[in-house]
Amino acid sequence: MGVSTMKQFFILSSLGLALLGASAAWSQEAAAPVSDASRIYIPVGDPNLKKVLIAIEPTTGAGAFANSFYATITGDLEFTDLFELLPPSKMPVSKGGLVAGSFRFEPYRAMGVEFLIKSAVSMKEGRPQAELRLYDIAKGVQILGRLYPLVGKVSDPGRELAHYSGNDVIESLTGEPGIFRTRLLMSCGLKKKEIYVMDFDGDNITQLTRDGNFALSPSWAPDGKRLLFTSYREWGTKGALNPNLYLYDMTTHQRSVLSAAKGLNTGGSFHPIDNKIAYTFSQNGKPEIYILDLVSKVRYPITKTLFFSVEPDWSPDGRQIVFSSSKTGRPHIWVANADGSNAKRLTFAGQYNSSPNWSPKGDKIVFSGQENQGNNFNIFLVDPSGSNLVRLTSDSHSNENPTFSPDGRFLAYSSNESGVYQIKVTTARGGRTKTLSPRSLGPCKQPAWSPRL
Amino acid sequence: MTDPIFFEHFRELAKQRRAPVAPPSSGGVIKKQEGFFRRSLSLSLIAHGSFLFVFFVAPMVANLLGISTDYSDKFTKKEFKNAIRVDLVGLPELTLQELQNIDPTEEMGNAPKVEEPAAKEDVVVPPPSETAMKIQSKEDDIKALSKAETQKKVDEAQKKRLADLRASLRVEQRRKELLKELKGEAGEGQGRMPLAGNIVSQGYSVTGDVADDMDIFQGHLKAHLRKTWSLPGWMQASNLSARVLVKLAPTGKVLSQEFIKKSGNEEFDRYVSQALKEAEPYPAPPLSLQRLIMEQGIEWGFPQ
Repeated sequence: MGVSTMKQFFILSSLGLALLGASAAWSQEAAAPVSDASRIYIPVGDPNLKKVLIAIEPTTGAGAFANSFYATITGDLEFTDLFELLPPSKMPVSKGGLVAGSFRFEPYRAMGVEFLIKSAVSMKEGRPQAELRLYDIAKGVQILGRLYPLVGKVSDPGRELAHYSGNDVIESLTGEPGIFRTRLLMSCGLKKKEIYVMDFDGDNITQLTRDGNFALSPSWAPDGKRLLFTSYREWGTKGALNPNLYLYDMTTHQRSVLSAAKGLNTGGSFHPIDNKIAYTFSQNGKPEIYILDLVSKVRYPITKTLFFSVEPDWSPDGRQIVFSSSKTGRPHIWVANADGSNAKRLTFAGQYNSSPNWSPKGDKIVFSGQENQGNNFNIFLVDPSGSNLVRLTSDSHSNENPTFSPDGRFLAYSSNESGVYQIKVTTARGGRTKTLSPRSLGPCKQPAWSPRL
Repeated sequence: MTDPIFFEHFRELAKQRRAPVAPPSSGGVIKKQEGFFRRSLSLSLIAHGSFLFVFFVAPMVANLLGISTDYSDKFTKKEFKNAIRVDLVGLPELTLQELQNIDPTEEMGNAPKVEEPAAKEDVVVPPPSETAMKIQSKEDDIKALSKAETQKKVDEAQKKRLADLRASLRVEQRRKELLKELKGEAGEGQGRMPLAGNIVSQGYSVTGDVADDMDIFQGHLKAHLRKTWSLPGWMQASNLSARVLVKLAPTGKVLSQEFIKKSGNEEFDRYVSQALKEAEPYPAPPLSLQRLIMEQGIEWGFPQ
């Protein structure tokens, strides 16, 4: 063969090899395994709630003071639904003293107890005081040790001091103080409705209004010292009752009128930072959300949809507002910026979604939604983005007006499971429920959870 | 034809035609033609050869080497498997607590459920016509008719509920069957999916029917461990995560277990180890995955 044919042969063969390589590479790539690691990877997902085993030894000290302290600290920790309490019968007989070194960890460790609480009460110079120590059994160290002298006068010092120390115990374990010194507002009564306040666990119920009509939708100011509520009072000269919005001072027990225009002045919600409120105002036609600046007294609308927009609640950073609007025909939950712009619909299913409440943690909005079959409401959670809509209750009775605790871990709501509406408390994951308000008050609705007081 | 002028003209034409074509000026032109011919031939050979190569030879070679050439996998299985389905039909049916407590590996459509509606159907009031025949007075007529109407509505609602129940039970039935296969009850630790016509070699690529097995077993394992994986309330919202590599024998027994990524928090890791320990014994892997799980293992992510 000649030189030129050799050249041609060379070109041909190199082209051929190139093609071989290319096609092999192509078939390789198309057949690559789905995951680059060849082993199985399984994300287990969210954990279940583990109730940590904790032992609370009886409080050292005499009489009602010690008993009250012990009963309260036990009740408080049990309320959180975070713990499993070791029954007193299983505790070691000789408990030793409060301080490390005066007792042994081993008996508790053997039972799988993770934390131990030892407490004592006494009088110091005529003043009640309590001491509490929290031990991590697994590590064998004290993680909290504090003295609580009582400041001021209270009828039940054991209870008061136990709440303080309980808050510290929770802070040691969770990083955030407990809610044992928070209170709940509610509107109770059958033929007349008045505003009441009670401790988070249902104790110390106090009546705040005596208007003799309908006092409704109470809510707290961020400082916990003032309230908003609506009361049907006389309007104008004709004596017709009108729902007016009031500001109530808890220390002076004085109230002032914030908004008394004809129509609805309801559902007031304090801004978390600024001295202004959002509420439902209907003087100009259909109810819409208005902002009232408490300093300048200027009032302006932020929803202009010409349909019902009610029940506003602010986000914890005050930049957004959630409310219920029937702009689309049925009431649904909407979120907008604080000035009403960028309104976004959160719920698309259900017949009647209302009374939204924004978690102080900012990550969830709770609301009550009416079932498609039936007239009762149940409680749902949704992210402010509209995703992760989950159901918390699926009862055949009605669960309404949910409100978050300041740590975002608990929800109070009104439920007519017993036939009468009562305030109940559950965890933000829909765990165990506790009934707080007594039936003797008549139907109690619209609970509002205070900030930490 | 005998016209002499015409014949003369014709002769002239013939002369011109018989004039020879000018020959190529040199031998180089002949060579050019040949070269041109050769080049075209080689190009043609290359084109035809590459065509034949790509579509016939390369796949054969790939097959011999054990590389899959099933391109359809890529487009049908992976892409569509990961499609998201969004239901906007209604508010969620199950509560958060119920969802967390669901174990898809346990029997969900229990036998009692099937019997209950059936019994109800038997107890149903006799058809309207029979009721109507028993009436005496006009008032009873009307009462019975309206009763029959509402009864009819109840019947229809009942039938619809039954149909829905049956449909969901059928689905449950199918899932139970599949899971039985996995558990090896269908044969001696076979665990082979009834759909599997081809036996995939014990290679390391996961496609075709092995991917199905993988999906189902993965779901089974995940549900198994979700029962024991728990954290105290205050750790629930933490950003901690850990990864553990576990290798299982074909019987489900743990051969090795080690943290390949620790969370940095002692307590968290302690709860992870506890969850794994309490999850033993694991369900036995299906035949098609046994080697993979024994050699490569399972990587657990807590929570991811």
